[in-house]
Amino acid sequence: MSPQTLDNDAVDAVWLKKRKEKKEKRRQRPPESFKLNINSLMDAFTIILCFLLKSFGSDPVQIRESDDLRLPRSSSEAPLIDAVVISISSRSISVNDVKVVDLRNGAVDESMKRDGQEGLMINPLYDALKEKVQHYKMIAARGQSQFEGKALVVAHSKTSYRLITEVLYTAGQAEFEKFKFVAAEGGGQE
Amino acid sequence: MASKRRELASFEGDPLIPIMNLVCMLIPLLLYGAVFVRFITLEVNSPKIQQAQQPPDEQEEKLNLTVMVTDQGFHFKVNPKFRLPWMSMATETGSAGPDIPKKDDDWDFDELNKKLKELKENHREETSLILGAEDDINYEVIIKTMDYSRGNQDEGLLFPNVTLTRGVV
Repeated sequence: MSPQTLDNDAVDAVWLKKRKEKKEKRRQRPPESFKLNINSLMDAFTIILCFLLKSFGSDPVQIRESDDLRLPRSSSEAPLIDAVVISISSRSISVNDVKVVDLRNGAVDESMKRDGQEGLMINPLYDALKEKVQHYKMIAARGQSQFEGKALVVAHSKTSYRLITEVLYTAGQAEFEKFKFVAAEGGGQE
Repeated sequence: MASKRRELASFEGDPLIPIMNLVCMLIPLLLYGAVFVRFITLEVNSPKIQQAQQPPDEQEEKLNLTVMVTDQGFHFKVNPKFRLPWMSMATETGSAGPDIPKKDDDWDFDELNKKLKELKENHREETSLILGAEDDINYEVIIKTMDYSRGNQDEGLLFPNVTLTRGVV
């Protein structure tokens, strides 16, 4: 073995030893703590907050679509007003979110009508609306104003015209005079 | 000096935590109240179950436009004095074919709009329309008919004052 080879081996051994020491030191060092960058998170939250504030609903009545209550689209621009809400879903009729009558195959059972199958007056709906009228009249009397008889009709897009006329007739009998059909924005005449 | 620097470094970010909590509470609250679909309204007058009789003079001068929606299409009825050549004007809606038949199994709303514009040309002061439909016609067809009958601000309003009538006459 030449002296040159011996030197090389010694150098290698020293190098390997140093490398091992370095590795050991690195292992013993405590891991760097992971810090969440709060500034970028705040930026994202601010943008989300601005978007949600912009789309926050300020309508006088809250209407929520569902599978049973899918509203038709319309090109009208008239906004919602504060009034009694008569909802006609595919399963029931509600007044201000309180269910008053169930529907069977999209129609009111004849036992719920004053004049039977061909009748237009729906008794439970009439009672519920009459109660609302009395309530609003009482409020109007205390506030020195007049009951205006406004109602919003929120109906499922597949509701039959027959049921719509039955509801409007019943509401008319309960002293409602001004009706507005509610639709979702974005349809109608192109 | 060194300890002060260390103190400052550890304080970094802490004042934002209450704000972050507030924002995290606000987001679900706003999400609940957010409206992604805008709702609008269409004004209608109550259904005419029994039409009130107007004085004969008034009736003679009025257009009395009635549009009936049936399964076959649209039927028109007007004061006979103002009848247009394309109107069948049968006494019973069911006995005559529609004035605007269905096209591709759907109601021809563009044609309805065109015919109403033609009527409006001769009766600029008229804004009223009586709308009737067969019992099984869907609400969305009624809304669409009202949309096309109303016209729009750009092209001019047609007949925005809609009164519903019971069934077809």
